[in-house]
Amino acid sequence: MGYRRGAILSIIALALAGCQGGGANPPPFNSGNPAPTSATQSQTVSPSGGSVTTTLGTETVKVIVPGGALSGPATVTLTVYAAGSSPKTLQSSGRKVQTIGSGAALVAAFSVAISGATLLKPLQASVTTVAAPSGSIFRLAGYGTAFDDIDTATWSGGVATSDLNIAYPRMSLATAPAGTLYAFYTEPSGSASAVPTPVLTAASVTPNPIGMFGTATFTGSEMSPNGFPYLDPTFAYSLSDPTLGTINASTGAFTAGPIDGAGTVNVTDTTAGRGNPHGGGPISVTSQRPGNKGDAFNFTGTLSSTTQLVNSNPTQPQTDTASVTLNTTVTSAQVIATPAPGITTVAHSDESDAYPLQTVTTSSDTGYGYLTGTSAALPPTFVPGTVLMTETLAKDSNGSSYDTQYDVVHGNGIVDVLPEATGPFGPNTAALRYVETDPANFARNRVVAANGSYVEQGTDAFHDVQTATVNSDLSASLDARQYSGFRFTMSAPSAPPNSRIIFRLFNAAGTQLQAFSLPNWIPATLTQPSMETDVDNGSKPYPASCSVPAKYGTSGNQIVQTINRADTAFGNLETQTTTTYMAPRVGPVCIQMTDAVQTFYDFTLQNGFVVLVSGGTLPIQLTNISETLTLQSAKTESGTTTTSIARGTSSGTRATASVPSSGFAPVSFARARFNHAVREKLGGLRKATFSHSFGNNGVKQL
Amino acid sequence: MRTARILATAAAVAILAACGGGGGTTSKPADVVPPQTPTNQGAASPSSTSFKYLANALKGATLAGPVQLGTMKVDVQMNLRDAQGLQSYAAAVGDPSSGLYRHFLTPEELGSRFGATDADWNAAMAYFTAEGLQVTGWKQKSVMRVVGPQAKMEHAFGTTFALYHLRSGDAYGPTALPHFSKPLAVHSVTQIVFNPSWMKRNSVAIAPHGTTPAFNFGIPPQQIAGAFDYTGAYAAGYTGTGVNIGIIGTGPIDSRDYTAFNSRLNAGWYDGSGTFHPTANTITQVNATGTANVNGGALATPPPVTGPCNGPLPGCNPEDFEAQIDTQQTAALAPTANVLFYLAYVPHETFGTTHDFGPREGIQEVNDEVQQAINDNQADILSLSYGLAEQYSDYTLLDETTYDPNGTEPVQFAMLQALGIAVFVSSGDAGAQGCARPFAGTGPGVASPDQPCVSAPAVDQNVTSVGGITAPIDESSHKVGPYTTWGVQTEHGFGATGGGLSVAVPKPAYQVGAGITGTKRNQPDASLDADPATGVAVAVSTAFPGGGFGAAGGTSVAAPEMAAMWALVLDACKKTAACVAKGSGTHPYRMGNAAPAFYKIYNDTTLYPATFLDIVDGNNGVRPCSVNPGQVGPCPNPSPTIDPGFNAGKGYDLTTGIGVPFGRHLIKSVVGV
Repeated sequence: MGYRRGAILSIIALALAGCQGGGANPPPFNSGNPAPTSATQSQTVSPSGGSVTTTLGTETVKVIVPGGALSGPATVTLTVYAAGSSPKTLQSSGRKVQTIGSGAALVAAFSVAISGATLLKPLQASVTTVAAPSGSIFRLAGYGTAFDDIDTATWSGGVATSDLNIAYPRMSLATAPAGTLYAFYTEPSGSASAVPTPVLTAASVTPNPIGMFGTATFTGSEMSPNGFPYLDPTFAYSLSDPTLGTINASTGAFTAGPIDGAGTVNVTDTTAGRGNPHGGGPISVTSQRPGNKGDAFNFTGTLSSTTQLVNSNPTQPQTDTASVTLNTTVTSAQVIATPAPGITTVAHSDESDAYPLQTVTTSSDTGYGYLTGTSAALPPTFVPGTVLMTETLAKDSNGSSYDTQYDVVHGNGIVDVLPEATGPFGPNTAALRYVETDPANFARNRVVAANGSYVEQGTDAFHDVQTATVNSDLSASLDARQYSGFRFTMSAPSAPPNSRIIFRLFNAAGTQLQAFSLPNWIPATLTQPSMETDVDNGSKPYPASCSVPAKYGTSGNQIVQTINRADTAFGNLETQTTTTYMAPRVGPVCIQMTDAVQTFYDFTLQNGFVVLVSGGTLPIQLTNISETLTLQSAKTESGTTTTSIARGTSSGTRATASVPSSGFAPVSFARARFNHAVREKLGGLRKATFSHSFGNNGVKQL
Repeated sequence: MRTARILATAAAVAILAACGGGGGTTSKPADVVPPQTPTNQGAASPSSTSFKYLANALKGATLAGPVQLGTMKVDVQMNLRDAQGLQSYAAAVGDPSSGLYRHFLTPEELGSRFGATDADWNAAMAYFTAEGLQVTGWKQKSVMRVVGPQAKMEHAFGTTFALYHLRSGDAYGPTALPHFSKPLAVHSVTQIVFNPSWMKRNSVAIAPHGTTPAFNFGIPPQQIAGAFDYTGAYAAGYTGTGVNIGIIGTGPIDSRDYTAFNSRLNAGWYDGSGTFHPTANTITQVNATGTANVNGGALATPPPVTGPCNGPLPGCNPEDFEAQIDTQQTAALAPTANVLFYLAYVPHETFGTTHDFGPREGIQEVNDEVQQAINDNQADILSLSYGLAEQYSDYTLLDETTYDPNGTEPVQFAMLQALGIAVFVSSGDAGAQGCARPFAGTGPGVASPDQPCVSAPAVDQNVTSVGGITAPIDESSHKVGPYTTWGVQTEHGFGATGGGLSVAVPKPAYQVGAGITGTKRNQPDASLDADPATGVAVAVSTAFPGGGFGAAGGTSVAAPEMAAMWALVLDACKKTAACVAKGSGTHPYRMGNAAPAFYKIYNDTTLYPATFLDIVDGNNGVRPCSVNPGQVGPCPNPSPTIDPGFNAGKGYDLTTGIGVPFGRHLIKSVVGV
């Protein structure tokens, strides 16, 4: 196939590498001809548009800058390279040699550079030339990484202008890879190269995998195979698997779904006439699931408790401090269909509390339910993505076992969720069931309602039962008739002013033996037995007491959970605070838990064979328990990592999302253990060993 | 101030009567105290017709008239050939810096090196035998037990016996200076003057389950084990295997109670893998029958126990609450140890048909049981939960302040130490007034029970005196309140851990460190749970109607707890070659008295806080009962005020000693494993 050479039509021989014309880049084409010459013209062009024309020899190349194509005034430089004759070999400097197809004939070669502004729309180019031989068509090609970008130019009146409506309309000339040389050429009719399929991609997002309900915006990118971008495609986005989440079809805004998955964000250019070219980008969603089998986390810290009698027989504060190591391994993660679609996860934890005088170890297994679907059997608040800490079963080296059940039967299953829903408790409640079995055949079973009211039954080795009840209105009772023959009742606080609690003692026959009118020790703000607040304070520096390893940075999102409780049966006023620092891309790296308790009734007998009740505002005993746990290392199923324990933390924060994925688990483990430690300190009535003359003076008001 | 008060009081009571001569029941009773002679005071084999006995007990007594005692028993302490040498040897075997450290002897060696000479021994044996009395001896040739009818006893001792009224109750005693008809190498004779109630069981019983008005149920052993880290020792494999713990019985036990105790309370331990094991003890009763019985021997197999009752032996022989505590605590807390329960019994021994308010067996015979333990040399550890005022034991000469190294108790505990046997003794339940026990009567001849004094034999140099604390713990062994001295905050002055300064026993060389005062023995050495308010579970007479489970406190709880913990230490030593290598003889794992090791730890700034919990709160003052002199039994109208007692504080104090040991760490500190 030949090509035409006309008087006007000058075949531009491509410049040899190293030959300069007008200060342009090294000529990228080597035609094998004598050193080419070039001509360069620079023109300041305003955003309203303009053009630059450069003539070299008989060929005049014009680059048209449409209005709105520039973000501001720009210098548009057009370099035209001297044409040569055959051969038809184009050689980019430093690149491969490309041979124009048989029968093709170069018309003009040029390059365009823009400085000073951003190109917003594609340019057009034209060349003044002669008509191509009959049957030929004009093409505009670029030589970037491959010489296969072909567009059709229309010749009219001696000017061949790049087409606007075929394969690559509005293809940007200027934004092509550096060193790109464009060339008009002709080739015989019917021999035009196939128009290469454009490449569409969706921009990768960070992080990927993305955590549950995490958000990211995908941006399509359409280019020629040679890397020439399209500037004005009309993209439509979709997901290869709708369970991955949701995506805005026009903006590409993606919100991750609640379950694990991997797929593609599809992007299609819906511009009419382009044949709907499409592409996509990968997306992987990691759910809120507590972890995958094999994940392991190592925390260290301290557990400290201080007890002090401050009323009847004051003592110095006695503090016991243990060094804590908490190692947790996810032992299983299984997909289930019932009672609801989801994943059950079991994590095993070994905690060692090393006090100076003894070491207590605790092994626990914690079960999690992770919902991937809905079920009529579950409350409507249990949407897909909900993580339920169903149960913790633990046993310590002293032989005590304790089973804490948060499942939907005994609790609301949700240990912690932010943001809280409306109401004082939001989706979190105090509901749970706690069963403790001690090595000497003692047991207690406490069922706590959502507002913190509870009923606890204690059983001794003789199967005697005592029952402690705390009611919603803060009244309470302690029925120890099978233990001691006596029963106590505590009234709800009377209305202010001079709010009082009536503490009564009855014998087994129900006869009231004693009654005390006590000042109300319950703050007015505590209107039910348990109240909780959760606050996301945003990024805060890690406190020095956390000793967070440097690899986790210096600050993290601070989440503070505060629970205020009034146990009106045992006379405990309690404030429990859990402060969690969530490192960006890591998860919880420091958990600080404190529990401050004032005890107004003393059933421990440490003050003698009597039950003491505080008759003033001064409690009988102060108990402070605190624990700090700091992440030291973690391992996911893919191996050890020192920077992330999380399988998909959606963001560094929990401002709008639930607790990040696997970071959730250590918090839960720690809190479950801590709560046990607190309960043990506030265990109340182990036994009722009262004075033989208990009926008359067994209760003493301080 | 306190020391001055002690000395002044001691001086006041150290008045010796001077008149002599044998008399009968017709002797002028009034305030006449039978005459005393100078004691042998530890001199080697000075044969004499006189001997030391508890003459001061009759000071101020009123002779009430004749007494019919039926069968009588006395213990005759022979003059040793080298009483001071025995004390020195006992000190050396417990001193790591000594070349004799842990070079323990055999009972036979004890007898040949320190015991009475054969001639002295045989002469005394012949004398009593010739008097028609039953005589029992042991290998160590220290104590000779003499039993017989009152008439023969009176003939042998050259006096008659009568009933006296004392402020602390009735007692029998001689009407004239007791003496032998020919010189014998006898140092002292116990129970010439006697009232069984002077011997105190250091336990406080709470009504058993099912009784009214309240159910009282104590802390099971697993919870004690968890609270004081026996569990850590169990997990490390130290449960007392192969260690023999001896209990000096204060009365009979019924092994069925321990079975019920284990069953009901699920007693046992968890090994290092978390596997539960039920207790696997053997409990063997060892009857103190002696080895050299003459005239048929007075010691006999005790009769079987009976249910709760009131009546004479052998038909009525109820279980002894104290003995049950001791047995159950040691066995359950050292769950694979062997328990040897020593019990002595004298058929027909009574205090007369009209004055038989004492225990049936055991408590009067504890020294005989100790003699048997020395003789047998089988127990590695002994637990003793009784005591009486040190002035009225055999620790002093008659001035009640001069230490008597040849006294019955100093000799027997030095012998135990020479054998390598660790002895743990309850420090008493009467707080700073360890001899008075005001809530249960007063001591013999005490001018005023409202005085500080300490309990014996806890005061001995060769035992570990074990005090008590209040330990509020829950079912999971967690501490739910401060640990404090067992004292006024719970007992309101009616009971407290025994503690104070001896007036006679020199402070042993090992008892050094901050807070230790004076030149006399400080006690207690260490403490464990004892407060009845935080008392332990005990099963008593479960096989009989009226029996069941109850709670018990007192330092009688702490002593067996400590003995059990030491059994774990010895178990660890047995399993550690380096530890065994430091010992010798047939029991190379023995370490003798634990107290020297305790004080060595106390003076190590690293080991101490890692082994002991220092108890810093509380006071062991008690409420005196002096407003009712002569009261026997619970004080019906105690003083409204509480004597100050001693305060707990940082480091050693006279309420809880150096504090509370924790099992696993005690093993690390003592054995190094």
